[in-house]
Amino acid sequence: MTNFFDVSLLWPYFRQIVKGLPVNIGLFLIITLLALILGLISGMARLKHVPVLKQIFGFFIHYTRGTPMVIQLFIIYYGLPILVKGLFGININTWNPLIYVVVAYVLNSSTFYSDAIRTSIVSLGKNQFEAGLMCGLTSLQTYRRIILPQAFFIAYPTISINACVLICDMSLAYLVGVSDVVGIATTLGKRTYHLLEAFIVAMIIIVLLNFALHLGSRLFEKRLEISSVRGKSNGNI
Amino acid sequence: MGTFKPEYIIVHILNGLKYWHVTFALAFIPCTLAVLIGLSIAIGRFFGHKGVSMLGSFFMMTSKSVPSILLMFVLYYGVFAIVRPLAQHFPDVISAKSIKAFPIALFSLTITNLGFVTETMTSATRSLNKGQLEAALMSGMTNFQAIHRILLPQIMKEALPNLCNNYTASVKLSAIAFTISVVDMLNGALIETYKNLSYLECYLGIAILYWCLVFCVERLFHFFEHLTNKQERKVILYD
Repeated sequence: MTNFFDVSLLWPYFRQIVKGLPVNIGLFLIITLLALILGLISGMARLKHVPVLKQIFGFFIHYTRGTPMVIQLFIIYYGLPILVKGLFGININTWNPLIYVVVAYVLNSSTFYSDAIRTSIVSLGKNQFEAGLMCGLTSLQTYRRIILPQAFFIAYPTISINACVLICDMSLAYLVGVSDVVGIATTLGKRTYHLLEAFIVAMIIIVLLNFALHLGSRLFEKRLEISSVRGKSNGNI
Repeated sequence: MGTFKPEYIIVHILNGLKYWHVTFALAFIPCTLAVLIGLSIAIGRFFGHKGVSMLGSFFMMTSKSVPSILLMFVLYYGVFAIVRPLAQHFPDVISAKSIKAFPIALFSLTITNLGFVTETMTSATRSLNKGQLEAALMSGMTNFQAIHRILLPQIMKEALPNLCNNYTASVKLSAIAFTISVVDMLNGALIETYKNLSYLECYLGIAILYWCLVFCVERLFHFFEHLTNKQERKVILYD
């Protein structure tokens, strides 16, 4: 082997590796959606001091804050089949590794979203909730129509930063055999002994994806601001 | 795999603890280096230096958008791509086998930490008043003295809570060094799993170790914060 870095390989590699991009984007969307839902549930449970749930979610927050993502991923990868077999007697060893990745990352990022949502609800104050109840709404309606839209607006910057971190963190998923961008780059590089080129291409793709996400979140934030201003002016008139 | 034996967890914790020094080095050296560089960048920004400011934003962008694991791979294989042709031409001077993964891991972790630490330090300097610097210079201090006696204590006090986050993040980040075959706590324990294939127990044991480490770092920083608050109270009393 004489050629250690071949620039002409970059374009064919790019065309191969970019095929993993839909997996990345799909995983990202599913994880963010599920993590937001779980984060909302755990944030509300901790806010309302629901007896058992509060302790469980508190434990999970300490666990995800204190341990590296690689280890969390592998604990789910090896632990979930044993747990499910012990509890329900179902063998899930043959399931797609995507499921383990989704579970691990949802648990990890839901704790961050949970804190973001909880603090934003606290920062709104009690007045909003009381005013909603006074108008004759039930407490569920108050949350859905009054509290949560405002809380989401406050929590949005934190959520978008965590989404960028998630895109970067998700490149660890290749370790459990997911063929996303990094996974394809690894297999391609190991087969052809040109790992450096493959990883450079994968890095470029992830950085571009991250920039696109950043731009998208900026635009969305602007729209949120516009809509909130409109809402406020309507309310005042 | 199949059955879960809790007694292996302790075995793996003991196996991992043999390599505690590697994990300590990977966790704390990059972040401390990043603090030193980030501090100089932040002070340069405070003095209004354009080039330093651009460098700082470049580091922030790199840390945020480049996955740390890919950066590590590119640096690792990049060093090989540079050294291998050299080794072919000068076989006596240098050989590809002499490359160690550990310094490369240190370097790449430093770059990843640098952006976040720079942001911490910059936000700490933003809380400072520019009048502080002018007053120090007016009273006859040199630039260095003003930084050393007036700016630095205030910056560090402001930055402490965020630095705690940076250090815990650095501890957690250091775990990915096992992907380029650095033998740290995780890899040291994983090597021993071939005996009984107890992967889950191994990862659980190492998770407990990291958890303890992060907890200790947090306690340490709370203690520092407590100390600085105490000092401040004393100063106020003397006034």
